[in-house]
Amino acid sequence: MKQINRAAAQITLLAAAILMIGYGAMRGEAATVLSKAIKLCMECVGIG
Amino acid sequence: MKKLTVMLLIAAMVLGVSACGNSANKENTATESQMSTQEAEDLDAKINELTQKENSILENHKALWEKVFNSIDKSTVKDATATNYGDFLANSLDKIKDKFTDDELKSLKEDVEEIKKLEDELQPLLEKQSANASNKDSGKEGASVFPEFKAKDLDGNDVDSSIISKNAVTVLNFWFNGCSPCVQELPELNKLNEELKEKGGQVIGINTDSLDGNEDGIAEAKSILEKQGAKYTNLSLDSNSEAGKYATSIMAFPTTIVLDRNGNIIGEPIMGGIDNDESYKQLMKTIDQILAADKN
Amino acid sequence: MDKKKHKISQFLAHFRGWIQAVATILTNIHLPNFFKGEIYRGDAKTVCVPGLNCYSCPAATGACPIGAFQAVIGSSKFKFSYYITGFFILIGVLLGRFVCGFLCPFGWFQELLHKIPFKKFSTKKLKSLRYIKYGVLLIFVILLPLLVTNSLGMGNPFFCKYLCPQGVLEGAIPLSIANASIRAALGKLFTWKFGILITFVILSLMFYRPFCKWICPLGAIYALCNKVSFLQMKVDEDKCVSCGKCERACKMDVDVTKHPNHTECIRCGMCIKECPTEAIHYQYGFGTDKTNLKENKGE
Repeated sequence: MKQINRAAAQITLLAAAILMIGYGAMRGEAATVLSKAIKLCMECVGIG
Repeated sequence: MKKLTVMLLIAAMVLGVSACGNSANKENTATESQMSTQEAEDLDAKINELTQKENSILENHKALWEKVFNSIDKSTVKDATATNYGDFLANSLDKIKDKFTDDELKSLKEDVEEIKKLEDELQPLLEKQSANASNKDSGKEGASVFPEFKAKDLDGNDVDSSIISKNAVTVLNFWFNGCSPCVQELPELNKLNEELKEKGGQVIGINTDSLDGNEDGIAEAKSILEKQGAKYTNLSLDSNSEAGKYATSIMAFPTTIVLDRNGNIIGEPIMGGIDNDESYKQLMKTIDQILAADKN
Repeated sequence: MDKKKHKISQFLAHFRGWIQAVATILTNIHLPNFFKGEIYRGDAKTVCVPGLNCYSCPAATGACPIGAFQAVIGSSKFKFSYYITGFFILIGVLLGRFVCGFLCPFGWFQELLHKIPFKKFSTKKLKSLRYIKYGVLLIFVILLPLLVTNSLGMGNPFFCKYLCPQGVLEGAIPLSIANASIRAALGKLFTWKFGILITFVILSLMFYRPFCKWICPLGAIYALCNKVSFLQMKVDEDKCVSCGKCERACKMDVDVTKHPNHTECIRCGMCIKECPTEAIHYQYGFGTDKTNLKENKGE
């Protein structure tokens, strides 16, 4: 029984993860990530 | 295990070096769109030849042309290079035509026509030559002149490089909407702009989210500027222009550079907010240095 | 079937150092940028890498998941990141803390430091410090960036800004060596964070992976996923002779026979290597409490 519960949790989480990634990317989060990642955030890395 | 680590590091180095080679190749192909040395030499020779011809025409009626040259107002001389030299001569000749006999005037006018024709040939070649030269300059690492630009401010008004030459000193601040330290220093930059106005200087912002007239980016930038009380000019550059390329090549935000009247970038770019004491001091030092030099 | 599983487990456990090295290089593939003093700025940076790897590292291939999470929730547009949370769950379910043991560049860095001869200390008595990382996750990665904002609703990435030693190691140090303007910008913040880096370098000499155990918010997220991860540790009770060698071998202070999927287990496989009867192995797939499940694929 326990492993069936775990499998169910895994499938649910996996599906949720993929949906969330898709939804997040669609509403522009991916663009925000890119825009931050390609610019050097001086204070973030400890410059300043 | 240690051996493995060392080997891996070596592999990494090799990979790095080979990747370096690749990028170097790319640069080579990029510069191929520029003129080869051979082409550039041919161009120079042709320009020389045409200039020689013009000179020999003038030489034929040397005494008469001397009169014309002596009459020319020194302040108009710079027009000579800006327009067709033939037109310039014709204008100059026109002003003092009553000092010549009809025959003299006729031969001079013939000369002018010939020179005009030569100039029509020469002018595009000269343009090509100067374009090639400026390409070379901008290709160089650490080119210290900010490229000329035609841009719009965030309200859509045309702005070009003349805005730089009108001011003794220009502080260029590069920022983007999602950058919190950039947004943080906007009030400080506005204050600086007010101070500089009295001294013949200005602050200009270049927002990299508003490149190519990006409407969303411009709208957001405008609302940020308004909330932060920044009233100085902000530009939307064309990302394909030389100035746009300069802006997109900037990696750290905010970055602030200081230009003199001729667009020369003075001093090292300042990275990080100028609302930090040390950066502010450095910035003011550069500004004062430029202002002092401008007075001389 | 069983034999094959054991072979794979033994292979992973024995060649972990190699895999860590390759993962570190793949995570930081743009090596020439170290000399140029620039960072890579291509579209690949839309995607996060699994480990803790600063995206301001000149060579970085992708985005740091912790940095990206703070960037999104700290931006004026968003208050929550579905994109990165989804990524955390995805990697958490697919790999869990296997990422820490095999893929994380900063984990590898600490391990290499730990190989340097120095007086070594056990962390068995410091188990309570493990909970700090959940606090770091909650406060520095989630709450502060979300709540401490300027008038425009923009927050700061507090973890990156004040705590993360990886940012100094991979970002600030190499960039300031190669780039004069960045060198000129170094200030108090750098001094503070350099101090943190030095602290963890020294701690790493004495303890095994101190940052992973106590501070790392990414490790905390993957730790929570360990129990539901496809990748699990499996102890074959028929083979186990209860010698206790695995527990003594574990540098994360986990007793694998009692808690094969403990939050602190980074799947490093030291217990697998140590077990005299080869009773411990990795298992990958759905369910996974019993070996005879049909969905035992993907090994």
